[in-house]
Amino acid sequence: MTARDSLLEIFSETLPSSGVRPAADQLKRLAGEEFSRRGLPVTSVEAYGTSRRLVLYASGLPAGALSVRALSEIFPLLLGRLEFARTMSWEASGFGFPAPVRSLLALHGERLVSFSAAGLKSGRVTEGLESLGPRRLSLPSAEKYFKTLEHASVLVKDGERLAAMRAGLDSASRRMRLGVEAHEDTLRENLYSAEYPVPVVSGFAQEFLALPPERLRSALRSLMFFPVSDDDGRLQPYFAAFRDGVSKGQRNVEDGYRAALESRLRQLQTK
Amino acid sequence: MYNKRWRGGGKVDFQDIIFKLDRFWARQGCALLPPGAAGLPGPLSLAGAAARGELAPDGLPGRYRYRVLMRPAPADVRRLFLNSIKETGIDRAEHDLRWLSGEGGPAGWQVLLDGLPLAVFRYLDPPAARSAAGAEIGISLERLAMVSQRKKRAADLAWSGRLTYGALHAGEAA
Repeated sequence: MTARDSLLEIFSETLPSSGVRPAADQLKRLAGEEFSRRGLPVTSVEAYGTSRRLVLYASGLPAGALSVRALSEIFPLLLGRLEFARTMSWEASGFGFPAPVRSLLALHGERLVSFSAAGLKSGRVTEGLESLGPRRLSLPSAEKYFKTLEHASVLVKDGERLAAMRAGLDSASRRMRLGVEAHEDTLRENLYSAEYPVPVVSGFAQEFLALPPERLRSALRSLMFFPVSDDDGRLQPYFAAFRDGVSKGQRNVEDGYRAALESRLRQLQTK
Repeated sequence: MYNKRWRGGGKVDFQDIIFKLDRFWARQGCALLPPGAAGLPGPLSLAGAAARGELAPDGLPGRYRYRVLMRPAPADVRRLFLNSIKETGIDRAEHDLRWLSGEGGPAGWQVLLDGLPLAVFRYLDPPAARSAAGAEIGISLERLAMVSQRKKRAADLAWSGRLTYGALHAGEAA
């Protein structure tokens, strides 16, 4: 029998960035355990996360009603077993999650996997990037998921998002002929606070270079910005950052980020 | 006449921003409260401008807040908030909006507009059986107006026509 892909997307309001990857890891492990406990012929299980969604994607289940029925039992079980550092119950069902869940998308091939959880019924509808306005997306099949979301400016796969971010910082470095310090923790924080990270390069007043370099670096990182230095590692009055969304109005964002940073640096100067 | 000016994409005065927010939230069924009115307990929806001194500290800039309280909150309250911002002349696609978790309390977010604090959005009290959480929103009117009018200093904001925010608050401490 033909195998079809299986998809579960939990779409919510903004999640704490530090909790996304651990939750995706749990989702993958729990699903793997449940699939093998039931002897289901799954060939691969992956889980992804963005600032607003957790996604489980599995391949290998044969097309047909049996798979759909099994998934409609498994998906709500997985939701119930996810653990977070801090959850709250947002509606009457008592289901705990770090942020209100807004939709559940569950498909096996073209077929809807139906179940109820978090006060919602699963469906085939989700949303694209919020800053582009409310855009409802209806999925014809699980296999179309990643492409459809990419067209709606959401890079669901963490790995692809991270690669795009690194490429963005590299090309910013080349343009400036300086080095963007791509600190891993800052990259990770940005990775899980956006669905479509777009690089922004801005600067700050020269006078702040008189601050001790480590304090300057830590001020930049506390705002999720990346310091920029020359070949000898000397800080320059520029920084790189990511915004979430398209690159319209870059100037507004550059100016705003600069003001946010300079206000932080002025506090440091007076300390 | 007012409508023409708004639709023309021209500058939206500080006081027009308050009118627009009032009208928007009234359409969502909120009762409009005059500044200084105390909050009431029980299920209700309120909206209105207030001076910062009347409210708990919230980490937002400026002396004026627009405050919305919906109890219970509709499921699309986050979208309503974003639409209310759009009403005041801000095109979201031209700006970066970030929601920082945990900054407005355990069930809250600080909303950054181009990296600067714009609002605090939070859900209230875990709901009792068969009810939805409430929501409380506090928006810095100065920050909103500075972005809408593209001004770098609050003092330069147009309050109404030629009267500026700076002239209106001359001699007061920020």
